[in-house]
Amino acid sequence: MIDLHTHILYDLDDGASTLEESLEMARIAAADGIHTIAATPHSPASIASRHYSPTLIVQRLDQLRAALQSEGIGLNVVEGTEIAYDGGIVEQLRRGDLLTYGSSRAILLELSSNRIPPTLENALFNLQVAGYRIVLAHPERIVEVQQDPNLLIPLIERGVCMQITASALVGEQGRHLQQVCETFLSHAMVHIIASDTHSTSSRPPKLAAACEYAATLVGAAQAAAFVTTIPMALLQNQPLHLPQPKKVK
Amino acid sequence: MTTETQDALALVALRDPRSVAAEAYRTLRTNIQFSSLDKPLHTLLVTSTSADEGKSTTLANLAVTMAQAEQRVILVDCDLRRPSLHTFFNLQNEVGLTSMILAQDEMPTPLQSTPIPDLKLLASGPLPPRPADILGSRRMEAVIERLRNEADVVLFDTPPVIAVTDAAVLATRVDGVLLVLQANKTSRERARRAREILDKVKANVVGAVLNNAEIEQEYDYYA
Repeated sequence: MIDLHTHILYDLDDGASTLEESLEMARIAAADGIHTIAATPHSPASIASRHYSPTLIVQRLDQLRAALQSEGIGLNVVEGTEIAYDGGIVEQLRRGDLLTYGSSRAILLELSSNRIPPTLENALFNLQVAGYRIVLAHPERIVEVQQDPNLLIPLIERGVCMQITASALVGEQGRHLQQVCETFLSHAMVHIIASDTHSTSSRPPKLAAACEYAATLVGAAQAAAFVTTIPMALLQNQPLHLPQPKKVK
Repeated sequence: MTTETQDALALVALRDPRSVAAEAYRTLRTNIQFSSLDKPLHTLLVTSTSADEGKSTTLANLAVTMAQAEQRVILVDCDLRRPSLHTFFNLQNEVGLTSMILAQDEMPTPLQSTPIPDLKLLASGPLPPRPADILGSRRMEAVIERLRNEADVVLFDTPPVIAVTDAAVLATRVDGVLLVLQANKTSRERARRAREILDKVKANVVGAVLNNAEIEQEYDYYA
């Protein structure tokens, strides 16, 4: 499995605080059946960001990779960023001030938790025309979307991939968020399940249980795609075929 | 699971060239050719009065039929609200018309190949917030000129002409407009309204296609 949303690198944001903690998270992930993890620290526009620079991220990544190797933990780690919605993202990506996933054209985008900004369609268009593909982080948390999941439809029709959080789906964040995730799933509004892990205890880097839970709603093959083929296609710039989402009535 | 397979089946001109439907598309092709013998139609726009009248299906099949007659055809998806042409050929629409219009530097036309050698697709590209602005832009005019030079026939799919202005905006920039209507569905009033809108912008309406019309029994003889 592939986990496209983690805060595994230490002392960059509200995620792991030490290299030891990063390693422990990596162990949990590998034991859960995850073979590739994207490190997605918060971008500077997020209040959760502490330090952010692509050079620093690459350094931390090299350090983690070396530690993984010496500890014998079989886990690939690629760089990324959880980009907080802000003006000028395209320019920052172009300049290399913000990172895409690995060497791909895909980015992880986070919106504020209350609503879909009215400027979003414009921003998505600018990103897409510049060649970027967009994964939207945890849409289940956006209050406006909880009230009306159909707000995701125009975004999905524009090719935006929806990433829900594993722990939310299995009910660890309460029944309400779980129900929201279930509604998304039964209306073809989910494309990726990721952990959004911040530590070994808070949203640990596990996907297997959530994948199994999703399988009860959408079938095993589709559920597996959320943690295998779809994330892989994004990391490798491969074509994506997103099914038409269904309207929630 | 996805709609792609269904859409591929909708290409009857490719799947079953001997069918009555494929023959109807060939007749349509011939009629279009003869509709303006003195001034050949290099660019043709297809629109409808409302959604689900079979506009894109008609256009995709017409394109296949024209390419089968060894004309170099480019299909352009100008329905920047609900693009669907790429689905008929199982292709992508991440890069296409809007990418080309907004490219900072000149880029090669992002045409995609289809199973028919003489038929290429220019998919929609990313969907803009205000499609009519893009379709009415000067750069769009330049794109049409470029496409004209790259093919014998360029066919444009647009949203329904009554709902939004996109089709009317583009209609003035092409040689001809074809209106798709659905038997027992499109009302006379809507058909008339569509015609009015197109006449108002002085579009050259070359004809209308009536989809899903009852086929009389004796025609089965030719099937």
